[in-house]
Amino acid sequence: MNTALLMIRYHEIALKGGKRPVFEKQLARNIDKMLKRTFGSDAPIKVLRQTGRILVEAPWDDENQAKAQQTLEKVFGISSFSPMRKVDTHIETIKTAALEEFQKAIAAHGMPKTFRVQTRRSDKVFPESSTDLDRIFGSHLHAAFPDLQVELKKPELRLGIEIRRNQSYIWSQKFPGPGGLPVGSNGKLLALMSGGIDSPIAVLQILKRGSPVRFIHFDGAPFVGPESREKAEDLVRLVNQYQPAPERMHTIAFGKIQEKIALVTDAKMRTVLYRRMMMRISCRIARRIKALALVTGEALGQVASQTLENLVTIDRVSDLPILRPLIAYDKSEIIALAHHFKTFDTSVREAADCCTLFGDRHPTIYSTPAEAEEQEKNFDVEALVNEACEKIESWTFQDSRHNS
Amino acid sequence: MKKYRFFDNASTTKCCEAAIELNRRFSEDDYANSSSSHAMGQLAARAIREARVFFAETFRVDPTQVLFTGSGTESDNLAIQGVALSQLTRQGGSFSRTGRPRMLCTATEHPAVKKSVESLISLGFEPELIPVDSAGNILRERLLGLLDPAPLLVSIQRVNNITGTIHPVEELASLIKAKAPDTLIHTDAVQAFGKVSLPTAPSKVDFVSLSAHKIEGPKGVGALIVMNRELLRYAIRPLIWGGNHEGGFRAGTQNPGLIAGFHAAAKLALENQKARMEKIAGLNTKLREILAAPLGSKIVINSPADAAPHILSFSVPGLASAGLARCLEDRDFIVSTGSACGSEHANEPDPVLSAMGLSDTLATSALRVSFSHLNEEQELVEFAQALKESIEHTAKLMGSNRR
Repeated sequence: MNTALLMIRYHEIALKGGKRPVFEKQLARNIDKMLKRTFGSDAPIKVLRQTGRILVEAPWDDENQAKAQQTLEKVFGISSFSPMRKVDTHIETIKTAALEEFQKAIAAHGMPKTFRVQTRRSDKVFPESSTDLDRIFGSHLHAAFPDLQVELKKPELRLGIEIRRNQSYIWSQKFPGPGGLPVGSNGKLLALMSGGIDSPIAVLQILKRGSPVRFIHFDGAPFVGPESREKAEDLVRLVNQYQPAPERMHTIAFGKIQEKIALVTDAKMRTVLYRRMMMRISCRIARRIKALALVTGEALGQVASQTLENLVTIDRVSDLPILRPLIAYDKSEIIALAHHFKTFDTSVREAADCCTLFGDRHPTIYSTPAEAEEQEKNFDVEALVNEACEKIESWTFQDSRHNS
Repeated sequence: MKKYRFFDNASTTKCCEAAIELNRRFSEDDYANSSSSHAMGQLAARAIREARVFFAETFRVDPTQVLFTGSGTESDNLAIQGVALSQLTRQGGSFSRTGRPRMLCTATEHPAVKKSVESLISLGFEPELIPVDSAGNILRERLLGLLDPAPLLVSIQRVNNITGTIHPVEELASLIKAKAPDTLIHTDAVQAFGKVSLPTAPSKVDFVSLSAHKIEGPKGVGALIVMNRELLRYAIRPLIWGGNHEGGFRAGTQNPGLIAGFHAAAKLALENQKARMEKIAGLNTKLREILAAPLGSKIVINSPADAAPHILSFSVPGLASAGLARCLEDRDFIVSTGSACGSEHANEPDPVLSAMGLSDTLATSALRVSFSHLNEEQELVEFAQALKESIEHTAKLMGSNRR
């Protein structure tokens, strides 16, 4: 397995103040974990933290480059990364290698109009300043391509040179990372996973802000088939690729509870009543696993249960904050993200949704907490929450490796 | 384990002891490959040979005309796709000059036949469905109207899997061949074997599909009986290529345990067919009595009076069949909302009932009860009570949504 040294960049602006070393440490740990998940725990992977960036030695040859790239594209916190060419620290050698790297970049991306060289001296082995070195290497390239303009602010092609004592590094390619903050740099959350398009995207949006996410699924069995639960599991598997440690899904047997509620309540109110039960049960489980808040994929006004009135009615029973990262998103924006994160095809697999079970074809759009409480007098809320929390199935996902 | 009253024997049956033991024996004791020439392999080969001879004698064909497959569905596909691909091959891979051959099947066929026939459209064939009346019987005039130009193949099931409707396949085959002598006839006899009479050679019917697990045999084995030996020479092209198993028509190491188990179950089913079916007919009569008595909601029986007695379809108009079936399950009764092969779309109208022209109200509220000789009349007495409760319960859950 041939390796390459990769330079990992992150947005320093996001990492200001005292939290910065915490973020950096977390990001370095996540990169190490996620690369080892891809390549195996004994793969030649080294992660080095330096000021303002992280250097990673990782498998990088014809066979492994795509895998490494795909893995790093899933590590939140990385803004971009570049593989670097290794060369002896000697001015003439570096000049030749810089030209080669430059030609390679042109072959891959076409001829740019503008360029710049950006030298960084980790070791002051040469007497010249970085700016002087920029000029030396730049004019060498300019001599080979006289039509090229130097552009310092926004060059089309940027050639980086990293001067160190024995070995120096050159890079020209830059791959985008997913941005955001490293997962684990914020508190833990519990996400309600329905199996639809929205919930996995809500989870990914919140993972991007650094919170690890555990999952809870409400299973309508025996009134719905296994498809919905299997979809939720498959979506968790996809979303877990973005977490350094795959998180579990807790499945609540909810169908019989819904049936008990349906038998004694107004059909128009049932969806809202189910959602209130889900929040109560989720709060209970969240405390058990020490999650600080809940996450849902609700978007304002998207369906009947997501009007502001109904969200207020639902929120009233939750004693934890409910984060709704998609609250202001259009469905088309959510779908675009689902395509981007490749969850769409799984989300649209046919499966019955338990939220509308035994519900009226025209459910209420404007409920009030008082109306919901009135309906809840018809059944024993506490007993049903207890019943739900007694029989939870927890599914641990394999820490899957993609090679042998 | 929870004890259920199993009224879903058209989907599958409990495997008989003899078949279970044979499966164990050929997996654990005599586990050699039946294609091996050593003594141990020949034990397995012998069991397969005996099974083949049994089916050959049953259908009065040569043992080479019995092809063991992995399922009833595979048998249907081997007949339909095998005939189609053979014709396509003989035409040099396309029908540009010779016209698109027609492939007919009943509108109420199991998906194993219907989807297989419909899939051929993309290979240049012209699939056509034979319409049926509200009892599921083929409309003969319409069938005869579909015979010019002569179809390549017509597939008509012997017993319908949802209603139990019996098709007079041999009589229909004679009608078809009088007009279109070269047309091949296939019958899916998966729900009929061991229950009603089947053709024996010589017959106007060319192919018969069978499955083991509907007659207390193991899952994972079926057979295609090629009724006319000549057909093996040209009429079917294999779907699975490899070794010379099953005369080259179905490559892949044979499973002696499953095939011997199929043999054992089939032998029991045929030997006891009369007694078993008399008992089942009694159960059918009893169930019809129960459904005629007041149950708190109107009930419509979808199966014709002369249907095969092991299958009975009825609807409770206004109630969703899925909900009713769950309520019955809560009361330990297992019934079906339709073919197990299509039941993931529980809220859609049953395609067989729709093809019979039944309204969506009936086709979305249908339950199928299917018996084996292991069911008892006492179970039906309890079923009557459970059904009554389930109707009340489901009506309450559906509330204003009742259709």
